[in-house]
Amino acid sequence: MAARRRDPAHAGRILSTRALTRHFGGVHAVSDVDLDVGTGERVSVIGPNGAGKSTLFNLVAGEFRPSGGRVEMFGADMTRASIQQRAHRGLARTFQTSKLFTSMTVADNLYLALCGRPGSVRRLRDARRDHERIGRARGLAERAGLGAEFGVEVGELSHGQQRQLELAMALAAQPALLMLDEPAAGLSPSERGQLTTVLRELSAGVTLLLIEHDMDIALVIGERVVVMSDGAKVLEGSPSEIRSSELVRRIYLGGTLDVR
Amino acid sequence: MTWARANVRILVAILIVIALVAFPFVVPRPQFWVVSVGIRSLWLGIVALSLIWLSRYTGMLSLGQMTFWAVAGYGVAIMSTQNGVPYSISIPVAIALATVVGALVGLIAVRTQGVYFLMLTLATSQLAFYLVLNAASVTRGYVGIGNIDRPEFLGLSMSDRNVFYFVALALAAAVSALAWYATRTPFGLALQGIRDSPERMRALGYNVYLHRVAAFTFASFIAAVSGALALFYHGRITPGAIDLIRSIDVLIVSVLGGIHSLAGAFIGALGLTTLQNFAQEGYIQVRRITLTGVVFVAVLLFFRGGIVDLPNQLREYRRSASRQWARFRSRKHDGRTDRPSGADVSDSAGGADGRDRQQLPR
Repeated sequence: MAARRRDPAHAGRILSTRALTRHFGGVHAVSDVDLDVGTGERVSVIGPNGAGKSTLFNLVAGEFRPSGGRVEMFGADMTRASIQQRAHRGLARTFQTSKLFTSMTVADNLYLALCGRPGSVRRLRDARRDHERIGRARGLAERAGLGAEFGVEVGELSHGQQRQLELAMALAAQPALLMLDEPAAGLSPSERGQLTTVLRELSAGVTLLLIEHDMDIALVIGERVVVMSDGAKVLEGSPSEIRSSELVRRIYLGGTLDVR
Repeated sequence: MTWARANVRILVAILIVIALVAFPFVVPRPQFWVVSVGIRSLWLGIVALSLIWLSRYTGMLSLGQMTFWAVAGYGVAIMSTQNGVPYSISIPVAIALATVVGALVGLIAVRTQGVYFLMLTLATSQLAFYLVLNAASVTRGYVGIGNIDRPEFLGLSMSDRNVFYFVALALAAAVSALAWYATRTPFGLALQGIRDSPERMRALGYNVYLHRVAAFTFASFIAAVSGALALFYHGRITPGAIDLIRSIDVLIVSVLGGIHSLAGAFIGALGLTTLQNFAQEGYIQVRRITLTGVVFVAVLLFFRGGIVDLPNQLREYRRSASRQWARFRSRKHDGRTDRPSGADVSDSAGGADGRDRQQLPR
């Protein structure tokens, strides 16, 4: 397992894009991006605002259709697959702006996250009697530090708690590939620290694709880092290579790289 | 505290059940109260329930519920009165047919949202209106289908107004229970998730479109039950029963009762029925539609949550009134010290003014 993680070229690839392209009118938001993510690998995609990170994310998640190129996931061509089909195959994602079910409780949010994939869910029975899934939802809430808020409406949670719930919901279905869209956005420094800990403690079976503006988190979490600029992949390497790269320094922050 | 509140709730529920059961036996002028108010409120409440359920749990506000009401009503009338099919077959078949029509309309309508959905469903009910008007060979056009016999079962005839009332009451209770239960299932929770965030539901693997179609179909089933019931209430069905005004009436009932609560459907229906009956009888000398309009506007302006939410709303008003009163009083006191109000904050910390203030209440 460890060997596979270190060398994605020979590992089972869970995601690969080939010449992935998307224009919006005349704007090339993403052009010719080849991205490979091996099973169990943690990859960060970084880049300044407008670099095309979010578009790339949405192309892989299925929100956007590519203008050109291919997306392969879980060993199949998923370029034209619907969002649900991707979810059923094991893709989970978070959202940049929390799109939680705000008028429902933490319990119901997690319960819904557990019932997304088809299978053993009996859709027309009383959900309050589904003790097995309610128990799992409670476990997820406790692991996310929301045990005491289990019955609380999500709209009443703090921003940090909502981000925790967001992550717990993405992990609920035990995804094969987890995509996080700027999970640190809007978090306080201490919440960022917590988030980093949570992400590092994710089980080894989870493959992680992280899109992040915040270099601290991206370089600490990612085993491999992809740098984007103006819609293209400009560099790829280990966190230490990225940290010391003059190119990154120039395109990312226009001089000083704010990395501690 | 919560224990006491739970007991109060149970007590209120028991009192409501007793009132509903005793209602036909204690009211004067039963033809008016039991039939024109009671039974009419029940079938009208069931259609409004279909609208409120859909709006509350899926966020889709439909003006097309009378379409499915009409399909069920005309279905029973055409099958039984014109072709001699027994009610035991025609009623379930007509309701099933209306539900299928609901599914077909839903397949198209749920692709739109907000005001487009509203317009599309309104167009559907208008389409139904003109269809029954023009398909005169089957529906008898303007005249409609009359002489509908009321069904009999277990030796009881629905021609008896009390029997009819209890059948309507039982049906209303049954569909309400069903609608309420549906919201507690994974299906119902998914609908609420879709209402809050369809993007996330899709990302979690839900088929948002099919859930919406299923919800729309379920709501049209509820409206269809009301359609069959109302056919026997009127004893006839005409295009006039599903014109634009009737579709709007369903919306008014929902808003009047409280569009965020399933119970609002029946309370709103009772409110509108009572209002319209009294207007008709000349107690209030204004035109029925004018009166309805005025009440509707008043509810929208002052009681957004409808009658169901009235206690909360009044408490809220009282609280804000007492807050304003307190502000008014303190301003009056400040006025006596002859200071510009802008200096209040800094001054109140100072010695002289602070003492001054403390003495004032006496």
